[in-house]
Amino acid sequence: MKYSALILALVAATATAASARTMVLDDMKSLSGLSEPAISPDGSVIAFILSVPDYKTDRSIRTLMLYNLSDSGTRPLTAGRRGVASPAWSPDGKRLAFLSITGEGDKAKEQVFVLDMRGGDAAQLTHAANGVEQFTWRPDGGAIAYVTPDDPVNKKDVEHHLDAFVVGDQAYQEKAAPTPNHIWLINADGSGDKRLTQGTWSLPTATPPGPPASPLSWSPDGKSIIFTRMPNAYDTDGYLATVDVLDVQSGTIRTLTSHGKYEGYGSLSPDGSKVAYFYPFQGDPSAQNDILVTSPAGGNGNDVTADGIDTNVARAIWMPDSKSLLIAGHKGTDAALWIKPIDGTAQRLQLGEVQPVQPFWLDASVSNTGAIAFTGSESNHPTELYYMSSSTATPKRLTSYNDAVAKLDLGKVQPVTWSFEGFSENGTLTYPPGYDPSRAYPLVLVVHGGPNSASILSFSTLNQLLAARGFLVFNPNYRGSDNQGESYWHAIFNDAGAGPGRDVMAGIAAVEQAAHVDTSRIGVSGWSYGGYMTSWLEGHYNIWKAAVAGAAVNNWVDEYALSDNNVTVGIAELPGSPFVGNNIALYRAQSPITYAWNITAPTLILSDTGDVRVPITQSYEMFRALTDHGVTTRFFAYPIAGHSPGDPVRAMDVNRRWIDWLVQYLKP
Amino acid sequence: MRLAIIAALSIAVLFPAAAFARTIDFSDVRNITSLSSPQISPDGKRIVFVRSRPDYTKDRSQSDLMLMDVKTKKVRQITFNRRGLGSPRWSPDGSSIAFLMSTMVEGVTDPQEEIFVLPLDGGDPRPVTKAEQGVDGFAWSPNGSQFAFITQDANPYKKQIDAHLDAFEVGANDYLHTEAAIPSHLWTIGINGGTAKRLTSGSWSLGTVDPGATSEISWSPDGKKIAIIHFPTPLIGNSLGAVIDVVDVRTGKRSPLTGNTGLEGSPDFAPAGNLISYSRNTNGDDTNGNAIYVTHVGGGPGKDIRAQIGRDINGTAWDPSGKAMWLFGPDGQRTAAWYVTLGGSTQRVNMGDVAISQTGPVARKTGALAFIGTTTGHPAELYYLASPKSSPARLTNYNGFITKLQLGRVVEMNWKNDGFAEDGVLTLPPGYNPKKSYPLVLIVHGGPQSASTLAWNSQNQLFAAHGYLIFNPNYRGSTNLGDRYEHAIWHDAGAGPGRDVMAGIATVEKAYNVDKGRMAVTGWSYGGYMTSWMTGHYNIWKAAVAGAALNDWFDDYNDAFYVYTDVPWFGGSPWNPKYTAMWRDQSPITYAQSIKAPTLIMGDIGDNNVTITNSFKMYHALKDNGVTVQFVAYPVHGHFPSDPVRSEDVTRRWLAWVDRYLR
Repeated sequence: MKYSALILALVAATATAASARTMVLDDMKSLSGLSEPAISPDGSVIAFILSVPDYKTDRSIRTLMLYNLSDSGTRPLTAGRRGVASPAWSPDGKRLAFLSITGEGDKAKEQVFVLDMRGGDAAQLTHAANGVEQFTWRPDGGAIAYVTPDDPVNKKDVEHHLDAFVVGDQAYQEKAAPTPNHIWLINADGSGDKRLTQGTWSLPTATPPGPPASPLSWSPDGKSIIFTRMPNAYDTDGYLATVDVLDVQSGTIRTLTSHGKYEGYGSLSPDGSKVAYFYPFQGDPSAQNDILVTSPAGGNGNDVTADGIDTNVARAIWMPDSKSLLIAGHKGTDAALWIKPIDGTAQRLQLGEVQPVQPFWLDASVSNTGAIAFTGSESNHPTELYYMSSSTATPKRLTSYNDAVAKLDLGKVQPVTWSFEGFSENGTLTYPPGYDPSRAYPLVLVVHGGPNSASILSFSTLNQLLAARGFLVFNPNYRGSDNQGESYWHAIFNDAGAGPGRDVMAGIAAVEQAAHVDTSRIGVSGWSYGGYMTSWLEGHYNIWKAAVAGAAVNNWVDEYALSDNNVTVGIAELPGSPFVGNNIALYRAQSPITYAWNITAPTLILSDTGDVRVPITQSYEMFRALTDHGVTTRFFAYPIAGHSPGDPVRAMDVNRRWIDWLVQYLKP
Repeated sequence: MRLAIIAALSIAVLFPAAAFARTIDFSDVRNITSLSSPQISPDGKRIVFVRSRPDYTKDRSQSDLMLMDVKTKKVRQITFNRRGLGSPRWSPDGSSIAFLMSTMVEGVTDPQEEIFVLPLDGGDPRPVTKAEQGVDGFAWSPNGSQFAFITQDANPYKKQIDAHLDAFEVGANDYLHTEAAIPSHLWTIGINGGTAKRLTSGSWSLGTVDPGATSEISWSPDGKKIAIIHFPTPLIGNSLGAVIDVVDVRTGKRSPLTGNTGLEGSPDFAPAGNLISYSRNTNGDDTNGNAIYVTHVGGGPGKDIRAQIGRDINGTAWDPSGKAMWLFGPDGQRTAAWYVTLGGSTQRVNMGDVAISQTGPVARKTGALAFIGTTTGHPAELYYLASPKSSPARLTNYNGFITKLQLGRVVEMNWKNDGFAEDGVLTLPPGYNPKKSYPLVLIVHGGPQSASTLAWNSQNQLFAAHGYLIFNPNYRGSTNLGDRYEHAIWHDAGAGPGRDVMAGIATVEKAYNVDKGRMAVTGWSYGGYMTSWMTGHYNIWKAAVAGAALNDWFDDYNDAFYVYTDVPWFGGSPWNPKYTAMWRDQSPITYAQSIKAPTLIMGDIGDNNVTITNSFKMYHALKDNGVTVQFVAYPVHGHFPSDPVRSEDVTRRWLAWVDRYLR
């Protein structure tokens, strides 16, 4: 593995010197994914997931890999297993547990497997009929706690087609009522599988795209587990979640704080003296996530990230000293890390050009020695595995899976900053390779989704592919982005389009100062909330010559009534239900579909038919409106579930259609 | 079945029936046999039809072909345990019957419906076609030597789809589509099978996909031409542009029949081959009911032969003389048959108390008609009508056991409102006592182009047996009172129909003893629309059941299969600011904050007719306003659960909700 990688790299390096070519769509085939680094407790090795696309079978082949820090060697630990994920070292570092899918058809479920690092096949530990959502080693290594969904109470009836179900706060395409998740315990030798919790309440389920479900956290003595408790199994009612403590022996459960809602991700310090958990700033559900630290005995504790860090926290990991937390969040056009002593001032880590991967969640782990392993990228280098021997060390890139793309003639990426309406704002600008300032270039906006996310100086395949076709590519951040603190984050509440739209227009003016833009050839594009921004900007500014609206939020009422976020829209985005009082006016005023009749730009619409995050109904609405008004539009739908195609073939097809549409109408 | 008969007999022997006849229950409805596809032989002596019985264990219906001898009334089963059986058709010489049946075709994963021919001198049915996409419709050639049939083209994108390059371009399709709609075309094949010959091709189609509307296939008597319906695309959303084409069987050359630009259907060559009848909304206005035009094969729009009747016609059959036609359609509270001569005379056939539920062609030699009919007290049976002058004769007695039960009496209601003479059907609780007051349950029909008439209705009877007066009001938009009435719902989807229903209730209250403190409104589809509308506009309800309710016209236009066929309702696109308010003002969701009645919402997740999005909106609206609501969804495709188990479950929940709040 290591040998062939080196040889390939050498060949590529030779070619570069002569005349590196620019990136083309087919280069996606050589992009590998790296994720879920798990550094061993002693800090000597790092397990991670390598994901290699196979365009023939249209799957990503996932392999559990092991990087050895002592000799820089990498070797695969799994072979031919499906859906390998969530590697977790036993506390003594002698065993490595992970999830993998076993079984066929409806019975294909994720189960816990354990590798004995003295050698031997991975042994299947769990046989949960409904699959394992997540698991955690007990601190003594003698058992694993895991979370699995219950059977439906009417399972027998369902088999006889009496499968009608009572609908709750759930997405419009689901075919059953959700069943609660509960905690089970199984000995590491496979014996003593038993249920620890039960009831109509539930632990949360991960709903991609998003962070993993709130992980279980053991007390060091193995007597209790901290977990997140929802009042029922409907994901959307997860906003009513609290951080609870389970006494393993008695099965009794207590709630840690008095907030009663909006909590999650409770995590005990290694010494068991403190609990860190997520809670929105000042308990406002439309505010950014802060970290509160309290005692496991109970109490609300204190907000430790509001001052000094002031960003939406994507993750908090206890450092081995139990006195400080590794905090992750976007800051400006960077993905930042801090060490935050509970009683002291946060120190930002010096990462240079490296951007840790943290959409929704920091993809990192910390050893007992305080070493940090994470996946990250740089603006001109796709994702690799990185390592810091301590929080003060410089990150070191350990792998070179994506050197082939890194060695292409890529577009330069620079931050753009501007001030507007009292906010200091920013975005990133990708230049066409070989950019010549004496020439004017067409400009394409690729607007990020979320909206609580940010465009930062990380590697972007789509940006680079567009730049290689001769576009300036602008990724504006806008109010609601999670990179400029609470006031910026909060400013999008009940101002979903107008304020953000003005921010983007101010950003374009800044780009026109920084680079030579052909102002008669500007396109706007985006997916999800980026699709919302696309539709909104098309309906409000008449400067566009082309648009690509992927999985666009066009109608807030559909988001409220149909999506998997449903009622939380009326909490986090807009003040209340569209069906109460005169709220419908607020929903309509902030929905791009209301302004559809103003749109003139040729618009490509893309969506998955099975998208529950942004139901495809909204793309149908926009498509009908544009068609009825005689605007040039085409709408391609992918007949799959999910918020965007995740398989290699369709993901490439999305990029191809997106780029081709902009090329057709902007003629770079 | 046999057990049930025995049980009924022993009760009758042991006890006097009058005293002990019990009322109807779900177990009785489970025993009802369904009949369909009546086809009388060319000589008029025999009738083939389909008999279906539900199997609640396997959750499907078993359909078999039955052969009736008209003279002796003896019936014989002629297929056994076949699957997906339907569309029986006599050979022109009456020696065999062709039909469709599910079978495996080489190279295809799922079973497909193919043409089989069953000889009536003995022998198994023999396969004719091996169409990979299955046969959607077929017709014998007049000399009996070949079939014309319709099958969907192979998906031209199959290779890309297999490689996951399966993104498809959206058009006038519904939001549940997962692939491009593929056209269907016309082929011919010899009756002994072999190689089929394609007659038509192109991006236009002889049918639509999901729901599958399929063109009629009408051969000219000389076998040289076939009249078909030409759909602009395989999508219902574009189907307003459907016209009749005449295809030359030898060359495949097509020519449009009339010069009209759309709204045409049901082409049928007259026996002499010189004339063709077809249906079209009166005066080409798609907000009117169906008229029947007869034109010359040479072309032109022809003449409306239904003008005197003025009713919405849903079926026709040529008299063998070629000088008259049978027309069928609702008329007031009756399903009527008319015999209309081309010379202009019209006779309404005396059907007694029999309601037609399905008809077939008339016998070529005798002009007799076979049909499936019901009465208000007797479910489906096979009937025979020798001529338009005679009375219908019942030939079968599959469901006679029902008449032994104590049923609710069914009466017609008539009233006047807003210048219309209006009507509806009222089912009384068994043993109705005028001195007692009864809760009233409305079950409002869907469509709205449909009508409640005096016919068997299991649901009405099941509900009435729980002690309710059951009212099925007709309302403007219904098909039973002529074009003016049917037309009146356009641009007035809820307000006018709502007033009609309220006037109907006032009439019921005058004639019968209604407990005004206990009234419920219920319905499915447009009946669900009416339910949501009525609860949002009148505060008299103690309960409501809104099944597959159209609550938001925007969803009907954007997401359901209707698309452009909805435009005539309001005159223009809902996204055109000129029309937006009209679409919104006539959507029940707009008035959701006025709803107080405890509401049961039901729907299929995979409904592309009234999309489940409508129900999700109403569910959240009611919940957010503190109204008692339960939303039950069926994880199946379709506008109503069609399998026995789920369909009974719908009715049970419906009745249980009404019982909970009214009983």
